[in-house]
Order: sequence, then structure tokens, then C-alpha cells
Amino acid sequence: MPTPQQSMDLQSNNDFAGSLDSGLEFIRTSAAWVIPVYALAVAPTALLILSIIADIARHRPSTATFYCWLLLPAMAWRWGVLAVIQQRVCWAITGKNDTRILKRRLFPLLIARLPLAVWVVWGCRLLLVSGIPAFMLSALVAPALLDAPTISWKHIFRPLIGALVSSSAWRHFLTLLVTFLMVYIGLVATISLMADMVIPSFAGVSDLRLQLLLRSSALKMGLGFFVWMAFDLLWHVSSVIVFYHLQTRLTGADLQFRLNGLRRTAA
Amino acid sequence: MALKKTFCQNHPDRPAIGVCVITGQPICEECSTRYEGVNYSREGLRILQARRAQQNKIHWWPDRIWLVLATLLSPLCVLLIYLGLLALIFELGLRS
Repeated sequence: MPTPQQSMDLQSNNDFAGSLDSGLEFIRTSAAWVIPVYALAVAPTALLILSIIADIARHRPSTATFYCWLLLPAMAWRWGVLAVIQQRVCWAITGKNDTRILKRRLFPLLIARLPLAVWVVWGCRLLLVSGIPAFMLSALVAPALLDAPTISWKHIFRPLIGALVSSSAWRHFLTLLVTFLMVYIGLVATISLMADMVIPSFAGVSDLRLQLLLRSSALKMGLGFFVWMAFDLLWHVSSVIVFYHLQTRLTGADLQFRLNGLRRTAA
Repeated sequence: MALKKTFCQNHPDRPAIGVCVITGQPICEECSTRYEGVNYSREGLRILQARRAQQNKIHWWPDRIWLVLATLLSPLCVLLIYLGLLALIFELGLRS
């Protein structure tokens, strides 16, 4: 059982869920606007990904070459519309309301996200986990650019490198990632259970086609994509809050962080 | 010992509310402008503006060069993304 002093330290250092909680709260309060805009952002990508999954399931990956070309502008569209959502989160935090900034910084934002997308794709291709840092950083490009006083590469690289080495940013991202992996595994396990036991024995149904569908890799890939969409939205919203949280620590405006520092120095 | 009252450098009959952080001169409420949470006199603001313009002038060109370079490299990034997606899809197709 921790001592009162240790409990206080744990509480003040416990920022595992702070920014994620704020991100969820933002989505909850602005759901009427955020969810349709996100659906608009991800619709082209979703259609293409589902078509690719269908072609893979039918063992026709050759038609995917055409879809891959279309996926590139769909990705750029998704980044642009996600930046609009992230701009709204920035406005909610800073109280500023300047629509001209995104128009001026949209092109640098797309350019900055390209190398990170290369890292994600080849990282997933070569070793799945090596693409994860790039996925974390790509959401932080928009708040870094929108908050910067000028379009300067140091205003992008420094926050991204800062986020890469920050344990706080990693805690938030990994908490979210593990949560969604658990949700995905739970869903896949539930569907497998239904296919193998519940439907045949409980419902008395022995439809082979239904069982094949529930066991198919296409269904699992499609389910993984839908779970990923929820994770994607929550991380893009929470990343703005994580960014400003890191900024307050950097500028010393985070009172709790400063008090902890003073306590450690005194000790 | 009585405290000495300071008066504004522009208005000798008005008491100063503070000191400009750039010029160090006492200023009254009317002469003071609050910018980014700090009080400046008119002269101090002008000096601050000149300094920032000088800084921006010195540092603008590396950012422009980086933006041009990144734009020129972007087709290569697009091609790499396309090839990576193709490889991923064919690998998933072989495994399924």
C-alpha cells in the first residue's frame, strides 16, 4: 500500500488518461459535427480499402494496383479534412478562431505527412511495430504547424522529436493502441465463438456459408479497419491535446509538473 | 524612508504605472501597451517590432529552401508509398 506521499506523487504523475479523456469529451460534445466530418474524411479511403480487401479475399490482388493509385489522393483528402477537425480542437483549447492559417499551411502539412506515411507503410511492411512511431507522429504534424508562428521546419521537427522522446506522449498513444487492440481481439474472438458454437448449437443453424463468412479473413480485415477508424479519430483529436500538454510543460506553465520538479530538487 | 514617486517620461504630471521592458523608462497608463502579457512604451514596441522583423529576415530563406526541397522530393515519397502499398497487398493476398 503506498504512503500518502507516494500516493500524491502517483496522482500528480498519473497523466495516462488525461488527454485521451479530454479527446473523448471533445468528440462527445461535438459529435454532431465531428463524426460526419470524419466520415467525409475517411469515406474515399474506406471504399478503396474495402474494395482491396474484397479483391484479396477473392485472390485477385492484381486489380489492387489500380486501387493503390486512387488510395494516394484519398489519403491526401483524409489528411486535409482531419486537419480541419484538429483545427477545431486547437480553437477549443486556445480560444483563437483564424480560418486563414489552415489555408496557408495545408500544403506544407501534406508535404510533411508524406515521409511519415512512407515510414508507416514500409514499417508495417518490414516489421509491423516499426511503423507505430510514425503513426503516432503523423497526427502531431497538424497541431505543430497550426500553432507555429511561421511555416518553419524547426517548428515541425522540434515538436515531433520532442513527442518521440516524451514518455507522456507515448503513454497516451500506447494506452489507446492497446485498448483498441483488445477491442479488436475481443470482437474477433466473439465472432469466432458465434461461428463455431453459438450459431450451430444455440440457434440450430448449420449454414456453412454463414460459418465460412464469419471465419473469413476478409471479415476480420474489414473489422480491423473499422476498429482502426475509431482509433484514428480519437488519436487525431487527442494528439492536439497531447501537443498542448507538452507545450505547457516546455514553457513551465504546467503547475503540477513544476511543483513535482521543485519537490524532486528539494528532496 | 518615503518612497520616491516616478512620473511618466512623456507626461510629467502623471504617475508612472510601470517601466517599459525595452527602454527601461517609466510610463503612465495611457502610454503603456500590453503585448503578449508585457507592458511596452511606443518606442519599446517599435524596437521590438524592428528586432523581430530582423530575425524573420535572417531566417526566412532556410525555411523556403526546405519547403522547395521537400516539394521536389514529394513525388519520390508518393512513389515509395505506392510501392509499399502494392507490396503489402500482394503479401496479404499470398497469405490469405
